[in-house]
Amino acid sequence: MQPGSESPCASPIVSKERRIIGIAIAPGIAVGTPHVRLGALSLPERLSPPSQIRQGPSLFRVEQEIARFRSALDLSRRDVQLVQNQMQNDGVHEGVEILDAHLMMLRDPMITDYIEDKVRATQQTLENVIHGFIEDCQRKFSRISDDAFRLRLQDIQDVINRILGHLTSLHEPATAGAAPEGAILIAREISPSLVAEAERFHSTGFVSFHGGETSHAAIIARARGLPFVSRIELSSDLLNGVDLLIVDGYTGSVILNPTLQTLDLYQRRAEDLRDCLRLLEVERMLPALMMDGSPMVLSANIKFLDELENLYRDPFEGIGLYRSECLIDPNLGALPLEEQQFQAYCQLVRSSKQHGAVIRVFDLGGDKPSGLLIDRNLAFEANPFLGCRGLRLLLRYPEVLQTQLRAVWRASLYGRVRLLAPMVTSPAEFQVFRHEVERARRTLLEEGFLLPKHLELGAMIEVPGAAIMSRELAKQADFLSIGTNDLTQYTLAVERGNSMLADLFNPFDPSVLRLIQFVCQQAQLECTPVAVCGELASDPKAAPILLGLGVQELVVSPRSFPLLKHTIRSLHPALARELAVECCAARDGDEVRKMAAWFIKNHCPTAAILGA
Amino acid sequence: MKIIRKVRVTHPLGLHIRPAAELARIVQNSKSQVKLTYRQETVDPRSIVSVLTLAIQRDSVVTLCVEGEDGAHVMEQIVHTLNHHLGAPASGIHEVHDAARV
Repeated sequence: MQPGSESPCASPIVSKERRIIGIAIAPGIAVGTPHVRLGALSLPERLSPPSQIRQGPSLFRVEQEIARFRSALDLSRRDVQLVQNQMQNDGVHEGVEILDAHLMMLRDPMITDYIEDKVRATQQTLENVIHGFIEDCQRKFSRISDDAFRLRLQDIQDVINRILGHLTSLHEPATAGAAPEGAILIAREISPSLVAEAERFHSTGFVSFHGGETSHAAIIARARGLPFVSRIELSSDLLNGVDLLIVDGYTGSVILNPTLQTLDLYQRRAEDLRDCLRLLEVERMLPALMMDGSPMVLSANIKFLDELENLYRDPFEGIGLYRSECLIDPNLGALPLEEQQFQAYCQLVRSSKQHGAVIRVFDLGGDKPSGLLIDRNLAFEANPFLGCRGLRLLLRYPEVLQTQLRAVWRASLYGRVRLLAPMVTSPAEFQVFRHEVERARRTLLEEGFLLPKHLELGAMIEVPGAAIMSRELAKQADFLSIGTNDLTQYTLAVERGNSMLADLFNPFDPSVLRLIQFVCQQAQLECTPVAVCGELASDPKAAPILLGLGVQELVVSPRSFPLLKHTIRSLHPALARELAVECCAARDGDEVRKMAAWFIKNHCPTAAILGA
Repeated sequence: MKIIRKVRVTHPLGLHIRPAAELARIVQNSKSQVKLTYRQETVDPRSIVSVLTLAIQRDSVVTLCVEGEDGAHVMEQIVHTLNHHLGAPASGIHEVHDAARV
């Protein structure tokens, strides 16, 4: 299937611009001609020779096949090493590591010996044996229910494809199917090697039907700064007559046959972006200080422990929120044991260095699956968002809470740990939580554990009632953390997932901002620091307003570190305070959004260009 | 000397490609015979592919059997290196230790 070759006959059709939205998995912008590889999993076709090795004394043929296999292996190893060296020079460490694993697979007896033995035993052609091997692997992996593991099949397949590629090119040297300069590679799935060797294939951007942010291909694409958009099914029908397309790895869209204006716009954007990114790179390692030198805490919002790996690239100030409910595996049929939790928290504490980690106790119920706290009454809640969730739910299961608290206390010996309670409604509820924490400490002490004297406790402000009572909460808690998603939902009485009300859900609404302002003022009276987590914190447009309102810490996804750092560094606190006052006085959320956009455009143009 | 130990895999993604590569490297550089058993299947961790096809998910317990002159050191390395790979977070295998207990 090669839609590219069909385009000339489709010339009478006037090509119209078309925009398709997928998901962005690596940022950047690329403009180029489509290069389509729509083979099943991009595996080269099974080669024509019949399954049995043809004529001649079979022993000789078999040895010939094996020699062919060995030279293809050699060539494959050499390729990978070459690409790896280049990545090493470019400082793409993630890529180096992934290719290291590929090299090991190329030396793996499970592949090399297995295939040679099979060729000898069955006297089949090398290609057939290799295809059989892949099918074998596919069968083995298809039994596995875990997505993360099925993804790994991609790496094995990738290595095998490389060997197959060399086998084919040994037959007929010039069949690499080289794409034209600056092509956009379109495939069902894109392998890590294709991204690693983008230059060789002349690819400047990638579009795939499947694949997510955690695939190795995506990791390498991000490390190399190549745009990659996934979940877009570009069938050959759609691509018919398309000779130019744009991949926008910021918004996750693909534009087919862009008009001159669009093209112009994107080309200019691409240039601006390049300049801006260079600027971000310069500031990346600097501290998050505002123009007057006053510091701002920028900490990480973490869901899975493997995200910690990526944290080391940016200097960060601890882990501002670890959502411990992500430790719960719904397939396992049991909550994580104290020991498992302890290990996880220790890992967290060790990687957050001196700044410490904030662990939020299990936040279940509402939109999150209630996990294993199966309460028959819970299923019949008419309104789960106003029902038993967060701290309310956890307090009904003291044994579950105690197990978690014990693990946290024990981990706190290894570094600074702070504990956060989700969905606190009243100071009394928080008081009960504090008692539970104390109870866990007492039992551990009785059992002979060494423990620190004190564990900092924080309350999440997600309920308007808690925001109004923030003075009392601030008195009891060591810190407050505002969850903007739920606070917006409860303040405006708009469910976040309701598409009919999507335009009403606006965290920039002045009512929400005034609540945040109130919380900051009240907490200041008690000298309790206030952090903001939730999506608003990661939005560079919101940063000046939040800082102006008196928030001291932004808890954001590690991906937003560079952009937010740049935004903070171009802010003057006096101007931010002025903006915050104006925003609180605005009529509605849209007006605030406009003001925020204007502010960013004027005070931090780089962030505005980068899609803030 | 033959050392047998049960180890729990605590990496969120299980014993996936990177820890498996690390494991293979240790075994390849050792003078010992290493066997990894999981769900009644035993493989040679020298082969990254065979370790991957076991699909060892998070929190599974695997049995490691090391035999050879440098056995103790290799076993320690397997646990240690995977534990401190990239400064801890990427650890693939974790043994249950508790220094806090008096």
